[in-house]
Amino acid sequence: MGILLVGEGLLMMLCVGIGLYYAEADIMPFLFSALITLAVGVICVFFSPHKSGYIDKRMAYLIVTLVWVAMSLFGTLPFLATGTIDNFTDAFFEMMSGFTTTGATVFEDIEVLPKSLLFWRSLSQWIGGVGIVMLVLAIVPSLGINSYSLYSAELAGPLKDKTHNRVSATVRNLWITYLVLTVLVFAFLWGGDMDFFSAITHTFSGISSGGFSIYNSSISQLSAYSQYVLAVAMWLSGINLTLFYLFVRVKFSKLRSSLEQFFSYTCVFLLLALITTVVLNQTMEYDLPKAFRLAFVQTASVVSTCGFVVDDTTQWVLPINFLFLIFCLRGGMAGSTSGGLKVMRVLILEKNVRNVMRNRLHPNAVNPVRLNSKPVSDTIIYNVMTLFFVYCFTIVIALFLLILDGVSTTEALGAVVGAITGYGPGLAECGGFGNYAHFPIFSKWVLAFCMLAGRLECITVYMLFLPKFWKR
Amino acid sequence: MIHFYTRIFNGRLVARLLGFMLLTMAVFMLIPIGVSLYYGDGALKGFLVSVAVLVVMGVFFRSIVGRSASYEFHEKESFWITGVIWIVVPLVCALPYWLIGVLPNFIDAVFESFSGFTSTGSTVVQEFDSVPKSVLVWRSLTQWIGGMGFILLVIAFFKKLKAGTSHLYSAEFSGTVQNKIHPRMTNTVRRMWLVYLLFTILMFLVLLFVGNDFVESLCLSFSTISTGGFSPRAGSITSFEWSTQLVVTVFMFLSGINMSLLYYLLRRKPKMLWRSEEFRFYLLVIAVAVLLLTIMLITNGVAEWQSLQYSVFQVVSTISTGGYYIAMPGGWMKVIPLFLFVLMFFGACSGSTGGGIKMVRLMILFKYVRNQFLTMMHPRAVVPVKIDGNVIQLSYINKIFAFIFMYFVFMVAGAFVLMCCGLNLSDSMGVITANIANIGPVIDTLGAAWSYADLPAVAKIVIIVEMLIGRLEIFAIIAIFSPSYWRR
Repeated sequence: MGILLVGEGLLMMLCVGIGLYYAEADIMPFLFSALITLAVGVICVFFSPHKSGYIDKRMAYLIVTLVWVAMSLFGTLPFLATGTIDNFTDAFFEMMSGFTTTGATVFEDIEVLPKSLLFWRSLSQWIGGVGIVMLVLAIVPSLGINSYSLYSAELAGPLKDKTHNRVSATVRNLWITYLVLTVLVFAFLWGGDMDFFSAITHTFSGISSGGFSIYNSSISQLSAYSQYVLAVAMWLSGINLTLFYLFVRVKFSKLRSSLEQFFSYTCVFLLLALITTVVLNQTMEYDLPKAFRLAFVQTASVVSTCGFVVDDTTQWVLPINFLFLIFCLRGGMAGSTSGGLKVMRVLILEKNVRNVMRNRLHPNAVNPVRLNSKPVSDTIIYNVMTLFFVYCFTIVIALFLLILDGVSTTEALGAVVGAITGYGPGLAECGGFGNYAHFPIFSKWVLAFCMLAGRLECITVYMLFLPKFWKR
Repeated sequence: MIHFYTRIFNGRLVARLLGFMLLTMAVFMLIPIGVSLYYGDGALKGFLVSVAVLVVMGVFFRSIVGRSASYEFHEKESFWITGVIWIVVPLVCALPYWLIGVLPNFIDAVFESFSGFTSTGSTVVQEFDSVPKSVLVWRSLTQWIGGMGFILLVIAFFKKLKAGTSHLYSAEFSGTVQNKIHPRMTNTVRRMWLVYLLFTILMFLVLLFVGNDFVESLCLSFSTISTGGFSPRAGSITSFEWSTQLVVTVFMFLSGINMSLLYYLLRRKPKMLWRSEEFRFYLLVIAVAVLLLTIMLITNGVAEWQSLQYSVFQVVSTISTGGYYIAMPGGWMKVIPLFLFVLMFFGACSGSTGGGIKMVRLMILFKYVRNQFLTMMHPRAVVPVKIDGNVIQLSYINKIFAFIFMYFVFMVAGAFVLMCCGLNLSDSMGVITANIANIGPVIDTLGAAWSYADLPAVAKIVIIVEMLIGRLEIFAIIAIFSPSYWRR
C-alpha cells in the first residue's frame, strides 16, 4: 500500500515538473499534494505491521479494492488543492474515472485547466491501465483469486508459475511491453502533427483505453492521421498484453491459446465499423471517407471501451448508439486494459447456450464447450455465468438508484453502462462531448462505485460486503 | 413434399394434431357465435365464414395429410408439434377480426390474435365502443385457451398419444420442478383443466355478483384466469368499479400460482401451498414490491390508501403477468415505469398460466450465485442448491442460465429492431420486455398506456415473435428454425 502511495507521490512530482516547464502559476498546491501523498506513503511503509510476504485470499480481495480506492483518494488532492474542483465528490469521481480507465469527466470546460492537471488526469489512466494488467496477468495468478481464475486458465506457459521469481519476471516483461507500446504510439502521434503535450496525454489515455482528452470536443478536432493512429492504439489496447510479448518473442505456438478471442475481437470491431460506416453515410450525409473514418475511430473506442469521442455521437441515430452500448458491455480481451465483460466470457456464454440447445435434442450427448479447440472446464463456465448475472444485477440496481435520484432514464442507462464497462461517455446529455457535471451528488457516488466494481469484475468488490468475509 | 417431411420427423402426426386443433378452435368459436346470435351484433357472418375455413383446413390436415399417422414420437416431434400449432392456429384464428372489420388491416388482426393466444394482452383495438360484443368475447376466449395452451388440450383429449406426452408437456408448459398431481400425465392435465375451469367459473360468478353484466364478466374472467389482460373497455380496467378491480387483483394473484398448488388448495390442503418455497418467494416479492411502490407514491404526495391500492394492483398485475392496469394516481413519476420494468423480469410461478422468467428460475439463480460467493471464500466447500429440500443438479442450473441469457439476447435484438423503427430507447425496451414476458400493456413516459396501433408492420411482426418466444419459453420456437433440427 505504502509503496504505491510513494509511487503516486513521485508521479505527482513529475506533474510538478510539467507545471514548472510550462511556467504555470499554481504549482505550489500541486507540490503540497505530492508531498502529502509521499509522506503518508512513507509512513505506511515504515509502520506496516505486515512484515511477512504471505497474503491470504481474503487479504488479497481487500488489498485489490483498497488500492483503487486509496489511489483515487490521494489522486484528488491536486484538484482540491489547486481549487479547480471545489467539492470532494467531483474530484473523487474524476479520479476514480481516471484510475479505472473509464474516462467520464465532470469538467464542463477542460481546456481551461492547467497543463499539470491535464497531465495528471491522463497519467492516472495510464497508471490505472498498467495496474489492472499487472493485477490480472501477474499478481492474481500467483494468488489464485477465484473470480479471475479465468485468466490464469487462459494464459499460457511461464505466467502460470507461482514462484516469486516468475511473478517478478512477468511483471518486468509486461512493463516493458506496455512501455514499448506507449512509446510507439507517442512516436507516431508526435511524428504526425501533434505537439508534445497533446501527443503524450492522448497516448496515455489511448493506450490504457481510458479516454480522457485535453479538449472539450475530445479527439474530434485532431487531424485524420492522428485519429487513425489513436484508433489503432485503442484497438491494440483491447488486446491481451501477453500476446504482444509472445508475438515479439516468436512464441507462436503459445499464441494459439488466445487466437479465437483475438479473431472474435477484431472481426467484431471491423464488422461494427462497417455497419456504422454505412449507417452514417446514409443518415448523416457524410461522404464515404469521412463516414468511414468516424465509424472506424469510434468503433475502436467502443470495442476497447476507451471512450474517446470522434464526433457528436448524440446526433447519430439511436440504433447505432444502442449497438455501441451493447458492444461496450462485451468489452475487449481478457488481460488487456479494456473493461466490459471481456470477449472470452461472451464466447463461453454463447457456446454454452448453443450446447444447451443441442442437449435438448440429444439429451445424452456429451459435448463440452470448447475454446481454441480446448474444452473449458465447468467451473469456469459457472464462474462466467455468475459474473454475468452479478454484472447485470449491478447495472439494474445502479440504474434504479440513478433514476430515483432524478436522472432521466436514457441518460441513466448510458451513464451506468459507460461507468461499469469503463467506456465513459453515456447517452444524451452525458454522451458525445457531454459530461457528468450536472449529475446529482449521490448519482456520482453510485457511478464511481460502478466504475470500481466494473474494473475489478464485481465479485472482488462485493466480497467485501459479505458479513462472512469479516468473520474470524 | 409429404415424403420429405415424414423422413426428418413424424410429419403426419404433426399434421393430424394440427387438424385436430383447428377443429377444436371451430368448436370454441361456437361461444362467440352464440353471443352474436343473442345480441344480434352483426358479427355472425364473419364468425361463420371463419368456422367454415377452420373446418375445411382442419379436415384437410387431420384426415388427408395426417391420415394413417403413427403415434410414435420423440423430443424432436414434440417441438415441431408445439411450434407448428402455435404458429398456424393463431394465424387462422385471426380471421374473425379481419372479416368482421374490427381490424381491417390483416397484420393488426394477426397481432391481436397472437397477443390473445399467448395470453399477452397487447391490443391494437382503439375504439372499443364499436367492437361487437361477440368479438370481445372471442378475444378473451383466445386468451383463455392460450393460457393453458394448445398442447395441454391435445394431451387431455387426444387419447391415442401414449408414450412421450411428458416431452410435449415440457415443450409448452413450464414445469421446472414438475409437481405432478397424478402419476399419469393425461390425468394430471385433465385435473389442471378442471382447476382452471373451476376458477374461471368462480370468478365469473363473483363478477356477476358485484354487478357486472354478462359479457363483461365473461371477458374479464377469461382474461384474468389466463393472466392475459384483454379488457372489454378502453383504458384496461380503469373505468370499472373498485369492487371489480379488487376481484381481478385477487384472481390475478391466484392465477400466478402453480396450478398444482391450486389443486391442493381446492382439495383443502392449504398447507401444501405454504410448503412450496416458490410460493413463499412469490409472496415475498409481491410484498416487498408493494411496500416499495407504496413508499414511492406516498413520498410523491399521493394519499396513503390510494397509493396502497394502486401498488397492490399494479404489482400483482405485473408479477403475475396479467397485464391489466389502472390510471396512475397523483403526479407523474418516471421511476415507476422503471420499477414496473424491473418487476417484469420476475414472472409468475412455474406451472402457472403466467409468463416471464418464472420465480423458481430466479430463486435457483440467486441461490446459486450466493453459493458461488461462499465457495470463493471456502474453495473446498460443497454447497448444493436446494429447492423444497431437493438438490438441483448443475446441468439443470446451466439450462436456466442458458435460458435467461437467451431471453436477454432476444430482448436486446427485439429492442434494437424497434429502435430502427424509430422508437426511443426506454419505449422499445419496455415494449419488448412486456411482450416477451407476456404482460402486454406498457406504461409509457407519459403515464398512459402505450398504444400498439400506430407501430409499423415490421415492429408488429417483431413483437409477435417475441410474444411467441416468451410463451413457449424460447426453445420450441428456436428449435424449428435451427438447422440441426432439420437434420435427421
